[in-house]
Amino acid sequence: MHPRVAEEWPEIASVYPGVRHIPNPERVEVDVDLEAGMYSRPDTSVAVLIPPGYRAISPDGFLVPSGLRFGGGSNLPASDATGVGMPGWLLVSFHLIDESGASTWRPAADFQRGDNLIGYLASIESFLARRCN
Amino acid sequence: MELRAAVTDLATLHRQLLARAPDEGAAFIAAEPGRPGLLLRSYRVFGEKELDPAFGELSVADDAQTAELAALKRGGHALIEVHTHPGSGPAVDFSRFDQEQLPPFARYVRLKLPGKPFGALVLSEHGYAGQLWTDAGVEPLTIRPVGQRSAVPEWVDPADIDPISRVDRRFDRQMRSLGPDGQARIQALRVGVVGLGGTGSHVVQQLAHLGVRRYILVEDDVVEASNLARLAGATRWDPLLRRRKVAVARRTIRRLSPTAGIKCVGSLRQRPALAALSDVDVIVGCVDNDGARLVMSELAAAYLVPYLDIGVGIEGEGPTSTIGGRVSFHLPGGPCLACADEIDFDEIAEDLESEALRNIRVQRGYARDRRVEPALMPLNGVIASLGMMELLAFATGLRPVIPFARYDTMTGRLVRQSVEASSDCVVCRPAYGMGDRQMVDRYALGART
Repeated sequence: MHPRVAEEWPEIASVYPGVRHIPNPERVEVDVDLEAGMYSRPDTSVAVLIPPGYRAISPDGFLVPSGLRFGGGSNLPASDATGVGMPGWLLVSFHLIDESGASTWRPAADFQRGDNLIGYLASIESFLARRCN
Repeated sequence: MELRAAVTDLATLHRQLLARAPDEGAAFIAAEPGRPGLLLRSYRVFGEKELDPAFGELSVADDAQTAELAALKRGGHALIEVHTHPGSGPAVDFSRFDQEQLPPFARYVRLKLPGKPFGALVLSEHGYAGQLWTDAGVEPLTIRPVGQRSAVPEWVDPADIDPISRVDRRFDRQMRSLGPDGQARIQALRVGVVGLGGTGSHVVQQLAHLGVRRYILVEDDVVEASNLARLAGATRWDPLLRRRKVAVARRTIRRLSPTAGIKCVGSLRQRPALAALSDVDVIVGCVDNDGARLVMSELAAAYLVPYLDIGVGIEGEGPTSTIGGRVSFHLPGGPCLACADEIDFDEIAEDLESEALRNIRVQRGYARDRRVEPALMPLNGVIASLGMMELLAFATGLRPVIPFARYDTMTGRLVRQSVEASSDCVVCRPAYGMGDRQMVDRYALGART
């Protein structure tokens, strides 16, 4: 397990009890509930790929199973993730940036004092609850 | 076995422990396996109330000992117990009481911290002695300080730092400046050079002239015609013959030192390179991207390897352009490039991402162009030479290392920057002294973690 993820793992597991760590490509997977009627399913798995430079650099985007769509049947803002070693998944465009396009990721040596995976997963939940806006 | 430790940590630990003289002091060091030996990650000096001076001999009180052992177990570290014998002189050694108490204590600690060695050090004002208990038995434990030679504590035996090699008379003029001892230290260095392009080719050339005899060369590029304007040591045939830059560097070294030890280990994003760099005396980074700088910064912190970074930059054209460079020396315990806010994490994210991820971002239209950077050979030469002066300062103790300096060719000014190590640095702090557990090989392309 990536050493920075290992530091955060007990905390992640306390917030997301069903969290899974999958080594190749290294990612963290959780199950989240979705707003009723907003999507084609009431819940979904969400995977976050861990970049080798994590926590200095943030994860980029997240993945959901390829069957997930908006409630009306339209597609999510996503690309097929086969190329990143995740066939059957979609890579959703999602970035922590400000109006100028600069990253708002502010990590710290102690993960509890800066941005971390729990915050990233919470931002994804919030993003999904806003219909990917 | 040796304990590799930053000179700053050693100096502080020694000062704090000896502050109790003539009473003894005690501390616990948290250590990690390195390549080879152990790495000092952190230490804790016990206060007055945590010590138990029973029977006229010092020991750590049970409560403090239990709490520290629990912390070491949580962190997955090995323990090295340190105590002092003030006034014992350079020939300090373990007392009869130590010799009776340490073996059962070693058994106890190794039961509490299974799979880890246990070490003990005794320090005086002018020397130390050490022992290490492992599965194979008991062996001497020596200290290898890393960092500025001018700051190496005098109680450490210089023979533990580097072997003194035979000095070649061809370095007569250098020795008149650096002295035979300084020259011997340069010849004993094991240097990892990462990037053998515009600046790296100058660095290798100067290292060979200075007399460095052991090299790890990290580069996998091939010489192209456009490189001939700046690649020191290249010939017009090299691009035609598709020679690798590492072959040009090796040729440069061999012409001056036919018997030098040269190990070519591919690119930085390959396991052999990452493994080899963890066991050099200094890494010289001559790269053009912050992704590689992040990898080297983290590796340097994890294995307590000094890292000298040499970078050049040209922006714009003509009289309004910016032409300059930066030399930074990350010494163990000192500020790294991230502490100094000298690396761009957005650029790093792009440098380190997989080609597949980049292709997706290109399709979506938000990947930055990888522009071809301008280059000037004299600029590379100037900045490489500034870097080599810092290497001399580091290796010989000629003067203290200047950790950060910037050169602006448009004004002709060399500016020394004052930078402090950040206790909140996300790059060097979590990695510090973590050795193999930092898993730096996750940066290898195709790595499974």
